[in-house]
Amino acid sequence: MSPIWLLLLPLVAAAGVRYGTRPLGVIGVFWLLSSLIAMTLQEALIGIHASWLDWPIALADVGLLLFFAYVGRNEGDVRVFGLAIVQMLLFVLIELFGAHAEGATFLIDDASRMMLFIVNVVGGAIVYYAHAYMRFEQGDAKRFLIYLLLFIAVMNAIAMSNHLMHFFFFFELTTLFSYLLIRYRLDETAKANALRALWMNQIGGIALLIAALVASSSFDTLYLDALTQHAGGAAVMIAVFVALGAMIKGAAMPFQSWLLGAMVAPTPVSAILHSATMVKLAPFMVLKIAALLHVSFAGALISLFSMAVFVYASFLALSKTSLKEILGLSTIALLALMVSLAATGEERAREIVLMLILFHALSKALLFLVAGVLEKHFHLKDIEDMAGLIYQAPRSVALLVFGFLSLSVPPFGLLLGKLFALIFLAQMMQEQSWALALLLLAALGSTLLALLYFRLLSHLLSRSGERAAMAHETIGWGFGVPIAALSLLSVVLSLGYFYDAFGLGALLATLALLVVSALTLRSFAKVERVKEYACGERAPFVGALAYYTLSEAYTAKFIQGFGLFFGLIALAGVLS
Amino acid sequence: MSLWSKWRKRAPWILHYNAGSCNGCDIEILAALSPRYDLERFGVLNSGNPKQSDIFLVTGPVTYRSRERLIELYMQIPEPKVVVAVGACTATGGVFRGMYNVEDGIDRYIPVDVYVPGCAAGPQLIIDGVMEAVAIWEQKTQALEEPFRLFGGMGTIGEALSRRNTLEVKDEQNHREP
Amino acid sequence: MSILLALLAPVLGALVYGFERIVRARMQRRKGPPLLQPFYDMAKLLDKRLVMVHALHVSLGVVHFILLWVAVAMLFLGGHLLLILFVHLFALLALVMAGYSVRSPYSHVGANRELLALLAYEPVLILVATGFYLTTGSFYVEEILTQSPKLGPLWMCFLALLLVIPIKLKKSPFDALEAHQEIVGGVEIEYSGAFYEVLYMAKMVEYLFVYGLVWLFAGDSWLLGLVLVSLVFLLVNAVDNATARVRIDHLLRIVALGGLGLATLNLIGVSL
Repeated sequence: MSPIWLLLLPLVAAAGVRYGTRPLGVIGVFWLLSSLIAMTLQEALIGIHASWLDWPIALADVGLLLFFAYVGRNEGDVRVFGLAIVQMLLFVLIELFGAHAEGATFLIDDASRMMLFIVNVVGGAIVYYAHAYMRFEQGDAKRFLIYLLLFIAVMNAIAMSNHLMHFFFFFELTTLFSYLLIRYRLDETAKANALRALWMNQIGGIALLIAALVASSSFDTLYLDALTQHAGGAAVMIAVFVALGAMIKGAAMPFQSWLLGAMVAPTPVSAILHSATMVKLAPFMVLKIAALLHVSFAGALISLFSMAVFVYASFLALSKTSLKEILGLSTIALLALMVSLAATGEERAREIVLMLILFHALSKALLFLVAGVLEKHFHLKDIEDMAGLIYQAPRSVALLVFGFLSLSVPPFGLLLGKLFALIFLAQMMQEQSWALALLLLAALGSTLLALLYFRLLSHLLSRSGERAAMAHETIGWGFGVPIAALSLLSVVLSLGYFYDAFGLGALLATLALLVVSALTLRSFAKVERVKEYACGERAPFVGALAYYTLSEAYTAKFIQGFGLFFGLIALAGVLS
Repeated sequence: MSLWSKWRKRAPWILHYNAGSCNGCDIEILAALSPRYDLERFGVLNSGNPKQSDIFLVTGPVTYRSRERLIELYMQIPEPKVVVAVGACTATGGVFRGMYNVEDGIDRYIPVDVYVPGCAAGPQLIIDGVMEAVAIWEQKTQALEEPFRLFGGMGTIGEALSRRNTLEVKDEQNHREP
Repeated sequence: MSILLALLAPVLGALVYGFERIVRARMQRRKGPPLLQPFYDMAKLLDKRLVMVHALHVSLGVVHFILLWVAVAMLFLGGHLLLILFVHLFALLALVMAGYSVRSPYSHVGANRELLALLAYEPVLILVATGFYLTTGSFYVEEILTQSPKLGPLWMCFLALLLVIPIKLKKSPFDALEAHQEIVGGVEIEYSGAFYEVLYMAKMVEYLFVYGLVWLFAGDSWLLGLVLVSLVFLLVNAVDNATARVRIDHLLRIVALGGLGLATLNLIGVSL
C-alpha cells in the first residue's frame, strides 16, 4: 500500500465523521486501516517525487501566517502578531533566495516509519477513545473529532516530508491544530493557554525558517536528505536551528509552560499531544538532522542541555499534585532524554531513540487515557483526592500501576531503551569522555522518574483489608477498547524487543518469571485479616504523599538558567 | 516431628510494653538483652512489633490510660503467644496498689503465663522467666495442635486456649524440678 | 556449580546472616545465637498463625522476594550487570508498592524512605557498573570474572560501593529505612508469620547480592575475592556496632554526594 493513503485516510474519515451517521464506526475502520498500512511499510527507503506541491504549499503557508497575524490582532496578543510578521518576512526572504535543487518530496526512512506507526496506531486509539470521552463534554463533539483526525493527517504528512519548507508548513499546521484544540473549551484559561502555546511554537517556526534561510543561501537546496550530506559550519548551523525548533516543540525547559498549559483541554488532547503527535516531533526532527551534529560542539551542548532538562523536569514533577501535570512533566523529561541521545549524532543512538519514542508513546497514551477515565467517572484530577482509590476503581489503579511499571522496569521496552542508552553512553565515553556527564545525568534522571511514579501510589494503593467496592467501576467499550489495545501492544512489543536484545532463553525465563509472579497474586481467602499495627492506638490513616521541592526563587533561577543555556546553543550554532 | 518441635521454639521474639511502670523493670529487661546478660544467645530478638512477636513482656501496674493499648497489643500478637508479667506491679500493683489511676496487675485484662517477681525484677530472673515462657509456649502450641491431630474430635481451639488449661500447664511447670 | 549456588541462594544467605549475628555478638564480647539461628527463626515463623492485612500486600512481598532471588541468580550465572541492577530495582519497587498498599503510617514512611534511598544509591551502582565496563570492556559478570582484579583502577568505585552497602543491609549508620526504634521496621511492619519469613529470606538474599557485587572487584582471583568479602564483612559489622543512625536526609546527602562524587572521579580517571 502506498503511504500516500495515510494522508488521505484521515481526511476521508474526517468527512465521514462530519457527514456520516456512525462516527464511531468510521473512526474504528480508519484506525484499523491506517494501522495496517503503517505496520506494513517495509521498504527501507521510499521516495516520492511531487514537486508540483511546492507552490500550493507556499500559498497555503502565506494564508496560514496571515491567519496567525489575524489571531494575534483579534485576540490582542502582540507576541503572536509580531512573531507572525517576523515569520512572514523570513518566509519572503527564503522564497526570494529560492533553492533550485530537485529531490524527493516525501521520503520515508526508519524514523518516519516509526512516527507513522505511532501516529496511526496510538493516535487512532486516542481518537477512538475521544468519541466516548466527548459524550461527557459540552460543545460540538464532531468538530473536536474532526480536529483530531486532521491533526493525524498533518502528522502523517510531517513524518514523510523531506522538504524543509513543507516541513515548516506542516509544523505550523500542528501549531494551529494544537491552538484550536487547547482553546476548545473557550474559557479564559483555555484561551490564554492556547495563545501561549501559539506564540511559543511560533518561535520554533522561526528557528526552522532561519535554518531554511541558511540552507537555501549556502547549499541551494531545501531537501533534508541532501542537506545531511553536507558538512561544515553552515550545515551545523542548520542542524542547530532545526534542533532548537524541535526542542520548543518538545517543551524543553524554558518553554515547558505551553505543554503544561495544554492540560486545560479535554484529556484526549493531552493524550494526543503527549504521546502520539506533537511533542514526538522533537526527537524525530533531531534524528532527521542528527548526522550533522555528530562530534560537534553545538551537538554536545544540545545533548548536555537536554539531559539537564531530563533531570530537572523529573525533579520539578515531584512537587506537583495534578496527575496530568505530573504526567506532562515526565513527558518533557523523557523527550529531553530522547533529544539528548539523538543529538549525539551517533548511528547507534538512532535505534535506541526510535524504541524510546515507540514505547513512550504506548505507555503515556495509556496513562493519559486512564487519567481521562478517572476524570470522567470519578471526577478526580488531583492525586491528593485519590486516597484509597483502589476501593472504588481497582481496574483503573491496576492500569495506572501497569503504565508506571511499563515506564520503569524490565522487561518493558522503555526500560530496555534506557538500559541500551546507558550502555551506549558508556561506549561513547571511551571515545569522548564528556559523555560521562550525560551518563551521570541519565542515571540520576531515571531514578528520579522511578521515585516520581511510585511516590504517587502512596494514596492510590492504600487500603485496609478487602471490602466490597463502594461503586462498581465500569470502564465501557468506548474507553476499554483503546486502553486494552495499547496495553496489549505494549506487552507484546516489549517482549519482542527483549527477545531481540537478549535471545530466546532470556525471553522464556522472563515469561516463566511472569507466570510465577502471577501465581502469587492469590486471594488467600482462608487467611484471617487483621488491622494494621499503630502502637496500640486506633488513629485513622490513609496515605502520606511526600513532596520534594526547591524554593520559588531557586526554581525561577533554574528556569532562567535553562533559558540562558538555550540562548547559548543558538549562539554556538550561529558561530559554527 | 520430634526434630521439628525441637527446632521450632528456639526463636522467641519479644514485645516489650510498659503499662505505667516506674521504668525500673524496663531497664532490667534491656539489661537482660544487652551484652552483659546476652538474651540473644537463646535466639531472642526484641522485635518491637506485635505482629512478629511471640512473648509479651509487660511491666507496670496498668494505668487507666494504658489499658486499651495493653489489650490491643495482646490481641495483635498472632497465636501461639505467651505473656510474661515482669515485676511486682504487674502481679499485684506493687507499690502503686490501690491508687486512684491504677489497676492492680495486668491479669485483670489479659491472661498471664509467667509472673517474674521483684521490684525491680533482676535480669537473671527475667531470663529465667523468658525461658519458662518458652516451655509454656511449646505446650500451648501442642494444645493448639490437638484438635487438628484428632480431626476435631476433642474440644475447640477456644477451649484449648482457655484460662483453665493454661493454669494446668503452669501447675505442671511448678511441679517440675528446676 | 553456579546454578547450584543460584538455586540455594536463600539457604546460603541464611548461613551468612547466621554467621554475621555471631560475629556481631563477638564484637560486643557476648556469645550470640547459634549459626543455624535463621533456620530456627524460620521454623518458628512457619509455626505461627497466619494473619494478613490484605492479599495484595502479601503477594507483593512474595514478588519482591522472587525478583530479588532472580537478581542474585543472574549475578551468579554471569548475567548483564545493568539488567541485574534493574531487576533489583523492580524487586525494590514491588516492596515499595507493598509498603504503600496498607494503611500504616510506619509502612508509608518506610516506603518513602526506600524510594529516597534508591535515589541515593541507584546512580552510584550504575556508575560502578559503568566503571567495570570501562575497565573490562563488558557489562557481563561472566566476562568481568575472567579478567584480572579491577580493584586497583576502580578503588574509588569500591569506596562508593562501601557507602552503599550499609543501606542495602540496613546497617548503622544508614539504617533509617528500617529504623526499628522509630518506624518499627518500615515496610516490613505488617508482615507476620510465614509471610514475614518470605521477607526475612529476601533480606538474606540481599546479603548475597551485595557481597556478590564486592566479589566482582576481585575479577578472576578467588583469593582476593575471599579477602575482600571478609574484610568488607568485618568492616560493615564493626561500623554497625560503633555508629549511631543518621537521618534520612543526611543519608541522602552523604551517599549521593560522597558516593556519586567518588564514582564520578573514578570514571573521569579511567576514561581519560
